Amino acid sequence: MSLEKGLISTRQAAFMITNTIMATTVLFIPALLARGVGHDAWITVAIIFILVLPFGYAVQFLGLRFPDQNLVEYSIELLGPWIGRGVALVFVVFFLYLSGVVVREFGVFLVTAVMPSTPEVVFNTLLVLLAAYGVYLGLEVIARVTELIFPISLAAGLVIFLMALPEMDFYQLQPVMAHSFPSILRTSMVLLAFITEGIVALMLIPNMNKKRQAALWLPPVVSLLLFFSLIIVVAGAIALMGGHETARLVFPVYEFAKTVHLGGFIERIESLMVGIWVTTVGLKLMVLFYGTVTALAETCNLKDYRPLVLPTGVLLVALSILIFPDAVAIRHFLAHTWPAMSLTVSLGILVLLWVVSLVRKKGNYRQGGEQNERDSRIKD
Amino acid sequence: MFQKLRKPFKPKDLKQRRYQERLSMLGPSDLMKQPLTDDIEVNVGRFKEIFGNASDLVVREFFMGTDNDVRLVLFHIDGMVDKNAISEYILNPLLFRTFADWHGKILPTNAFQLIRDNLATASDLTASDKMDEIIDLVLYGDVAVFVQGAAQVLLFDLKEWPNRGVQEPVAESLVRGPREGFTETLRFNTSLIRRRIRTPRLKFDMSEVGLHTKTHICVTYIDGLVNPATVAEIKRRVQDIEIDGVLESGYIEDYIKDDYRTPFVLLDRTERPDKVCAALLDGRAAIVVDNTPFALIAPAVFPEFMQSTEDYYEGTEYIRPFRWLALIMTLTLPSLYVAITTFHQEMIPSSLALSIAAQREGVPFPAVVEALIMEVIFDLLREGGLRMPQPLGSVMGIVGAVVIGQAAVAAGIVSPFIVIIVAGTAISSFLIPNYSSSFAIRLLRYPMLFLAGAFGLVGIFLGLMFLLLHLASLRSFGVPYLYPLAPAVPGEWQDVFIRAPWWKMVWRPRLFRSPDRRRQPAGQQPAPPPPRAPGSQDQSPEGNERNEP
Amino acid sequence: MSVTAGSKIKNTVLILLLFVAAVCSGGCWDRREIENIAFINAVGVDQAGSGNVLVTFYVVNPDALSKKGGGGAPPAIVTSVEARDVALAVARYAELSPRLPQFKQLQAIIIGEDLARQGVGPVLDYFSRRQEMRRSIWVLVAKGKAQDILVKGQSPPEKLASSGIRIILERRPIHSATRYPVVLGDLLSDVSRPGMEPIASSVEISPLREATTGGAYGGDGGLTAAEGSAAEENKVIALRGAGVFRDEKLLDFLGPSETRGVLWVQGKVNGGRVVVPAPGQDDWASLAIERESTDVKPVVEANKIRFVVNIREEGYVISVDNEKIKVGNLDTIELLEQEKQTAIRQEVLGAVSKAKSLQSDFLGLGDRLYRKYPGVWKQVKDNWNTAWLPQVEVDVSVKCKLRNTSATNDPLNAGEKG
Repeated sequence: MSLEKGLISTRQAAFMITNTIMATTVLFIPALLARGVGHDAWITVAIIFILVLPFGYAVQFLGLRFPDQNLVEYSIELLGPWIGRGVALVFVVFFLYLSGVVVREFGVFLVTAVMPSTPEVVFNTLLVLLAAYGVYLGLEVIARVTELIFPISLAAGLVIFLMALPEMDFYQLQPVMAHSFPSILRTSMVLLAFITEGIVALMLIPNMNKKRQAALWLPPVVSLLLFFSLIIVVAGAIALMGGHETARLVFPVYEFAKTVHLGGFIERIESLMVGIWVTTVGLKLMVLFYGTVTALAETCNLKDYRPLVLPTGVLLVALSILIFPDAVAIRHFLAHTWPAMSLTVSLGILVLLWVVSLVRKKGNYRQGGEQNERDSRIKD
Repeated sequence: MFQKLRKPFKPKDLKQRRYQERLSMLGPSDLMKQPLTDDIEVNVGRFKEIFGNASDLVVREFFMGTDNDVRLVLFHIDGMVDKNAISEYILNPLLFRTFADWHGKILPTNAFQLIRDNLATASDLTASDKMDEIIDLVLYGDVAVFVQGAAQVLLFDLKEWPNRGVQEPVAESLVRGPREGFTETLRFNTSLIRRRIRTPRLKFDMSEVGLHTKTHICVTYIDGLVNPATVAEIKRRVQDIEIDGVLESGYIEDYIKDDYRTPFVLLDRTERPDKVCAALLDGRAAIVVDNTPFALIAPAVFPEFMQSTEDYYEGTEYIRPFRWLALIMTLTLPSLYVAITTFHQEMIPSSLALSIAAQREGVPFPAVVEALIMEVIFDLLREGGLRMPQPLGSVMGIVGAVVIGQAAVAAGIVSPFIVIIVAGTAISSFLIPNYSSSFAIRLLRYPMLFLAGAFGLVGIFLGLMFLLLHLASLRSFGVPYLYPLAPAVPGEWQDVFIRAPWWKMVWRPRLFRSPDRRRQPAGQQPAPPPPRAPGSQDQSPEGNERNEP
Repeated sequence: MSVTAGSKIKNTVLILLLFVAAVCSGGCWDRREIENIAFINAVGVDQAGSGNVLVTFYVVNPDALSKKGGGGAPPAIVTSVEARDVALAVARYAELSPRLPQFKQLQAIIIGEDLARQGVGPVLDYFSRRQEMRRSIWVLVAKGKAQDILVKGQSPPEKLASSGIRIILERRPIHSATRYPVVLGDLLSDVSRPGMEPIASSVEISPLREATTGGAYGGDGGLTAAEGSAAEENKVIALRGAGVFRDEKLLDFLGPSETRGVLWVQGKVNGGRVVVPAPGQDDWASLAIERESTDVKPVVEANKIRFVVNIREEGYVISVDNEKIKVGNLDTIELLEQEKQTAIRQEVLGAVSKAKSLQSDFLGLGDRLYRKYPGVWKQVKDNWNTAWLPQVEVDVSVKCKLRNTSATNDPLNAGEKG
């Protein structure tokens, strides 16, 4: 059975998944997309929205076929002990690697944007410490804090967007579709790679309360939230600065916050934005970190994942420093290597597990079973 | 040859064994365990031996019966009993009245039963045949009467001892609301509660805690409103306490709270009976402890500590957002000052930035140290002000701190700006109604200050995240500490951020899992009366001249 | 074996001590005490000999502004440093300044004329790369040397020249709209935008009298200050007109009315005054501009590109010179409106002709073409400025409305007395 005895509500799960996908995406996406297709970047967001929905449903229903079982457990069930464990380990490595990338990304951001003289390792360590503390406390705690913080961060983002609105010139989004459709499609793969980080949801599904009832509305809600935030960020950045500048800047959304200029008094508040970012990225890291240690613990048949937290944390800090030699390499990775890697692993494994479960006719594909028993516990 | 392998003992067992040994060493337990005999000499002898030469044990021997053949010995502790009552309800009837009416009928064989049923005029009378129970009750103020020929003892409850009387609670005084506070006597406290909740479902479950003090603890709840699991858990934890003495409810709190590794309070404490009753009506349980006016309320969640009882009486509906703001300010104001002036100077409007820079010329310390010094001074003065004699105390605290702040500015140790910041912090900490929570928040200022000094705004947000994670991981008797914020239940936010009018509070808080969740029917908001139909007969001041013929 | 309670506490204390030590030992790399910072409020960059740049730092002196001190201390300390590029100049300056220079409170960047003519690329690159910069810093082109402006220029009664510049640029131009406020972000975007050439506000120092004459005000004369005061000597900072670029190089300056012409095309006029000849008289009437909206449509025909500019404007009457102009009359109002339309049209055409003669599309016409007809743009973009722009036709049509005549109707003496 699951290691984690905690339950999270569907709302908490929705927030956690959305936050996991969104936190670092909004930071890097506008520049990456604008590099590909300039001021048509917002079209990629619209395209992705159409693709995210089936992805979300696919993830959701795979989880629902094995409602009380962890990803690792049903991999083993479907593919046998050795291949199943192998697949699980792939996931572990994937999540670990992704965590390392996230830590490094954000460390780089903090250093270049806020405190240039501080060595990156300091921020990396702090971030990992925070995430380790959260993971140590358990999934429920992470869920509760996300439920509290995520709406606030969304609201703050919206407020900043609204305050920057007077400076925006949506004329700069024209002409629509100046770039060829194939290049737009190619660029949208970059965005898709970020979105499929949401595969970590597979680790959360067993702990969700009332998952059957939520199955229908969860993916659309998450997709809508993502869509709106990304569209605002991308279109806003282009409207503010034009396609070229957006591509040229490393962190366009930071510039967003810099342009806010209200009443001659509320200005230069970008450091507040950075603070809020720290919280959301920390929460994202917690979810990824949690996925890593839980999957690892499950694969090795451990009773509790807690002893793994500290060692994995240390590993993570080291990994985050060693992954990339410099910031330019990060960009290159995100634009070229990452799409291939992420799509292969998440979609590949998703498809693999689906196909095998259909072929071997395993899992509940109808209502009923021990599902109801779990749902009757009151959520909290 | 082979040594028998002894079972390795666990440290816990060893402790248990030692405790039992100590217990048995402490008192004449043998004597106390033996049952009473018919012989009054033996009983009284044992009794006296148990008490040794207690200087406040008062003995009164007297005789009843025609030929004085029924001997009675009366014991009580001096200072805990109403002596007049003894004369009136025990000695008077037994010595005088029996003379005439019962002459010749009182014999050693039936004396005990006659006294118990017909003769004694005290209203609170019990009998017991267990020596340890008798000792307990005598030590709590009962009068014990040993009767010849009976293996039982009569116990009269005629307690009277000096009492503070019901006064306004010092730490929780309100502008509007009852001014009654608990006293140090358990029975009076329970009566204060009983007067307010007049349903037979109000239960007081008594127990005793403390080896030497045998303090009475009373777990109070309204049966049918409270979650039975919660009450059972509270009782279990109270009964599991093994301690030599309980002098105050704080002792109990330390044992039964969910998590000791946090500065935050997980049980509420109060001197006010109306607050206890409100909690009981919410579906919670209270623990009343003898010898202290402070009662405990469990479970307790964090948003409660932002509420004050007065909120519910006087219609200050919108003060709660101020309290939350004050909470944030208390925690982060000095840190924000340090972070912004040291790392993020661009956030300050130009003229203010220059003004601060000019003020800090000549100040020898960096901003972090400056803030630290002033905060420590303020805290010292404030805590010191608490201990001073009443009229001086609070004035001394804050005004003195500001004066010292000015002196420090004049001496060039700190800049004027920090004095304002620290004063603002202190003032906002006053808005937190609960003293212990405000202490926890004030304590957390210091780590925040360090984080801000090291990492600026990023550090502050990191600190806030750590704090949130910590708070979200706490539970109080099964209820998550940040409820209704953390497992977000928006329907209950009406009592967190504002104080919704009473007619809006239809449901009891959900996570207390009360069997009966509805407080009141919905839709009782006040409204002006509906307009009159024409031609109806109402007495309106304007009169109905037009309608009258 | 396992960790006992005693050593757990010891470990925690050790970690805490480590933390405290790390924090307090001054090892916090980015910490700057606020009194140790030199706030650079404005910076000027000029061309110096042999490929160097001359960077002028306008640093505020906090003592002068504090409540206690002040008095004799100068409000700002202006230092000029010559070096190979801006970054080196900043480093040199940091060497000799006891306070660390920081651009966090930077309000204006002034680029000297000669440097601008050489190309502002390198300077802009420095300023856009630093994260301390924000895109809302004002950028100005100086007529002459930027150093002069910062060293000698004053903006009474503001103590700081940089504040003066900032306040004037930020203010909605109620009285005149003859400057083109540009922030760093806009400039950077313009450089990379297809079909748009950069344009920036120009600044100069001049005696007060000169600073307030000519241009859109019509007529002559200007302010005079008392003899010997700062304003009378060559010291007031005047913000008028704009400098236009092609790619990164400055071409020329626009006069006040041409600048307003550009503003009309961009739709950015939100205040100002127009002086028009009164109908049938030799005198003038002053009309105010309240708000306007502009619509620029590119029209592509066989071998020609045309732009249709539609301007809608609203305003009111400020004053009339001659009492014979009966402003209370509907006909008069209509005539005044027509005069206004003509005046505005003149300004726009003036700007257009300047763009054509300079062969620089700072009006953003090419941008409009790109947005609407990207295919056409692709064909023409390579020689847009040189070949196509001089050939485009710009049809300007203006519609004005005079909403009211302020507080009074007819002018004084309108037939009251004999």
